[in-house]
Amino acid sequence: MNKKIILVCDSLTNKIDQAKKLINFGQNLYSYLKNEILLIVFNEENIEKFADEINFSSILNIKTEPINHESGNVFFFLEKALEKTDFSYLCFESSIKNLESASYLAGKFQASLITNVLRIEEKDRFSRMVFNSKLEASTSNLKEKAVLTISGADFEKNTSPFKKTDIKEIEIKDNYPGLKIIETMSRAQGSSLDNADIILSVGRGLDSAEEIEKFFEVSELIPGSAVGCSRPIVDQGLLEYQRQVGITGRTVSPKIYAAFAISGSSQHIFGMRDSGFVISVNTDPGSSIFGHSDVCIVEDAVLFLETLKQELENKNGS
Amino acid sequence: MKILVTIKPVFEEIQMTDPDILKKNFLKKNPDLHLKINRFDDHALEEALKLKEKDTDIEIHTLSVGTKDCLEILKKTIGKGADKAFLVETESTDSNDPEFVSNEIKNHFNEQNYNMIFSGMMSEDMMNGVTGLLTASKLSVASLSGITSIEDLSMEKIIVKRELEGGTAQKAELLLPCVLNFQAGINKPGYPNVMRMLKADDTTIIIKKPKQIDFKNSKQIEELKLPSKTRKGEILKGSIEDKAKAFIQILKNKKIL
Repeated sequence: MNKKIILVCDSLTNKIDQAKKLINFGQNLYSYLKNEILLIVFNEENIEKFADEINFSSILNIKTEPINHESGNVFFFLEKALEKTDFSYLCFESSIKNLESASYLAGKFQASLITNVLRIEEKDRFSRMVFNSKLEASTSNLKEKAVLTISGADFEKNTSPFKKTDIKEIEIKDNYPGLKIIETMSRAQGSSLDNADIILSVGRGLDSAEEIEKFFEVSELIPGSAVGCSRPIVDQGLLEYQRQVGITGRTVSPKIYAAFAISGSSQHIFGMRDSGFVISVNTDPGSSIFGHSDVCIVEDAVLFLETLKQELENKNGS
Repeated sequence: MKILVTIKPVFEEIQMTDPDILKKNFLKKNPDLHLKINRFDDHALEEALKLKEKDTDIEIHTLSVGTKDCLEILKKTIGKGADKAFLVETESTDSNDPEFVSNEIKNHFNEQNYNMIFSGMMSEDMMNGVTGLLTASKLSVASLSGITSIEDLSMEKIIVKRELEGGTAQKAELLLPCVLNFQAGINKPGYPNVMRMLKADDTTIIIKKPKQIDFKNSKQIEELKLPSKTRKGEILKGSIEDKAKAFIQILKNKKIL
């Protein structure tokens, strides 16, 4: 049986046309392995249109009951669908739900599991972040089968040589009995961060309401600014969820993102990496946020903020 | 009801430790840095303790897979309120492969007949986020990640809330036994009680040998390096006032001021 590179289209957004990163990754992986590429989608209507664009060897459209992929059954559908398909790599985009499917399938197929892949370094070797994103680990897969979740910003567009894409469809009606999603809620209401030109963002290095208040004082001196934060500040109840930037919060892209006392975990970087210009203030010269910043300031965030406030007031003549 | 909380030992103060020191210690496999409870697992333990506060029939066990250095950490879990702790003792941290660890958790689970496994949704060091989920897959029980609260619990099922990306949350029902992987920051883990820690002995902390003898790692870290920069990362020089002035100049250049 031919081993395949299998790409699983994000089951929550469930849109084949939003899977550019995954498709580019698959084509890059192909350049090392030369295995056939199979793209798995769920309940997709317009496959023919995309089949010509991506030139994969095959697409499998899984028609399921229920159609709603918030049901929590995706991993189960995939296990059924993959029973007769051998793979070398099974790839998902990184997300909590996809991680659940990836882990379930790695366990069932005795595959190795490498999560949050940033880059393909060479055949069977991938880079990923470790130690709160302070280091990058070059990690080898040592098994015949591997499951990957990928989180790099994007992967270079590549080509695959397949002339014709074979489209198959299967129907799965079984349900996984152990888990039922009762309700899906969204907390993503409007936020002052959405239209801000500059976001002053507060990290876990600050931990009192008095210190946070200083950010609002400085924000008042900068037109078009808003105060954001990383997750620990919301967890401590110091700021409301609408101000949280990161993978479980908001994704922002202001002209300037100024990160104060933010270490730079990959979850936070995910939420601000598209900002126009990034300035970071941190006492730790080794903090990972500095690698994602245009300008780095090695200072105590509160002292720097107080000095900045003073300078802004001087400039305004107050 | 019996709950197993899995505890991963990680280096203390990963946040503020120089990357070169982390790298050196990790590669030597003999950390000079002290170990602590993985932050995410500490939150999972606290959730289990909150359940025990409401229902004293709940028995909480903790489990680590690692070297004897983990005993201090397990003693802390007893100090916090766990009834028993188990160490699957390995000779080195080489066996930190999630596949090895999840196999050992599975074996322990089957010996003890737990109703649930609680774990943090990832570790601070390796950031894999898979050990709990892999364990569930191997045990063929339900599992969810990103749990933020427990809404209801009976001997048959549990209702939880969990958080996904971009502000989406879900309410879900899982049949028991199951594995729950908790988000960080959802509670305030308490301090260990010193008297309880001092009373911990070999009836409360039990050392076991791993069941897997010829385990072959499924993946291997070949090299640790500083992350590639995605931006220039120019370090500003001068006094704090100079740097504040430079900050303001950037705002002017970008037409913010």
